[in-house]
Amino acid sequence: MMLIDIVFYTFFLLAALAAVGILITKNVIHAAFYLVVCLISLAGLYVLFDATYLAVVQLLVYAGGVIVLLAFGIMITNRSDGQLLSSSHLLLPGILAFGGVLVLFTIFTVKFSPGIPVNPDSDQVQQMGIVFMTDYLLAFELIAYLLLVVLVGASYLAKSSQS
Amino acid sequence: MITFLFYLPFLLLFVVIGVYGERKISAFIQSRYGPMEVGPKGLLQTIADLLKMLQKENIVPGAADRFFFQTAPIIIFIAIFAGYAVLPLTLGVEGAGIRTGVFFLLAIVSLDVLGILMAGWSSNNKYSLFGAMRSMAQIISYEIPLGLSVLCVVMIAQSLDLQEITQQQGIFSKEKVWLFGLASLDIDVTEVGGFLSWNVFRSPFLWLVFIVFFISGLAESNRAPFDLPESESELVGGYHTEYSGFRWGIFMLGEYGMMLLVSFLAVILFFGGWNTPLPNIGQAKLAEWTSGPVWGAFWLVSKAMFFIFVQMWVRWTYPRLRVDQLMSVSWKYLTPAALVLVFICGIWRLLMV
Repeated sequence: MMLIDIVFYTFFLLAALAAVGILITKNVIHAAFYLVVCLISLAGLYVLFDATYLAVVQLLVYAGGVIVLLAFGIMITNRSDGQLLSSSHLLLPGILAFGGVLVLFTIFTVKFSPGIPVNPDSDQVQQMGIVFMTDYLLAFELIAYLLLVVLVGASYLAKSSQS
Repeated sequence: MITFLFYLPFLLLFVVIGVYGERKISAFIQSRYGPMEVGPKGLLQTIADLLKMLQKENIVPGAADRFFFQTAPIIIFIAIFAGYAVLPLTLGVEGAGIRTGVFFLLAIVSLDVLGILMAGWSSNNKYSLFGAMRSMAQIISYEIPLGLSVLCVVMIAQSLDLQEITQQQGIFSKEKVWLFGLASLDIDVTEVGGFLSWNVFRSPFLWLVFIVFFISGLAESNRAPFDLPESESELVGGYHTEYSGFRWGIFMLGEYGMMLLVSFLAVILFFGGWNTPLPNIGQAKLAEWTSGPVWGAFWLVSKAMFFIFVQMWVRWTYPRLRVDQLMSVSWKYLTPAALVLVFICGIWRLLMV
């Protein structure tokens, strides 16, 4: 077994175990931090597949931004002992849903996998920049407008709460 | 790998010297002597403090979340030290070969917020939680001007790789370096090198960008005048109130590690990295005489030490900001200024080609 396989299976197991941990833990804060472990492990998997840019975005946006806000929100509403979540575990529907998603995922990856190999030596950032400003310019601009609207909305909400 | 073997011992050594330096600098600024008793001129004071700290008991509060409480300082240090992975050391010795270099650095360093949150929340103490909340709000807010100011440099350099950004700023540059970056002036300074090819001279607006970067960097490393998370007069000690002994020491290691990282980044992005400041003048090839692997490491470290000194100087000169002032500095002044500077740097880049 090569070193890269060991690294791959480590990240893979970490992501899977953390995802299971979110389901079975009874402490909200612990669930939030399991989610962090899961997302960081996914970033590690992206690195192994030569998608370094995607991995960094994963770290910056999900692990660094979204999760911190989530944990922040939970923390100021809870004490250290955490709050018990619902104690009834719907086991059977959970297993069915998981199995269903697994089957769908397998079908999609086998049938519709684009299978385009990534060139690891290519400058992904530059390529993405060129593609954004040519082929996907409309989508890029629309997302920019969406973010602008969100920013304006956020500042409006913050202002009206002061007065 | 070589950079790892250099940076880890260097960081530990730097913390020992940095604490002593900080106490001496603060003392001289306030017309005092500072530590004088242990060793000549108090040189061994930090060693003595360190020995005392290591012998202290590791106390975990009874109502704390034990696992989170104990792992939080380690996560903070790991997140900050991971940022050192992409720093180049000298000519031909570069960090991890990640093409997204400086972008990766900003992303991984921002994860230390998680450690701070864990520490503040798991202590089960209102002062710790307030400190952690302040720290999080501060670090997330100041990431925006920091990221924008780095973006200005990336636009000028057209690369995210820190080694490549450094290489452009000296006599080893692969492309031609014009005076002030203006191709229309038609003065080629590639052979002259020295400070004339640093980024702040290739694009003079980067001086203003550097000010934005430096202020945000101070805030990111929770240093005064932005040390609200641990403001001792209001919050006892902020998120590390409950920590003692070695775990508290790791928090300090993290803070000094962040200071050093911000200084290295400032040097690499704006002030030529490992390139020599001395230009070639006619027959006196000062730049060529003072360039090379060992000289490179020397210049990088000594420039970084200068910015460490400036950080300490600022700390003992300016009073701490209030929380509302902190937010308005970031959102009302630094972020708009950084946005305007991104625009200006884009135009400057067009003049450079």
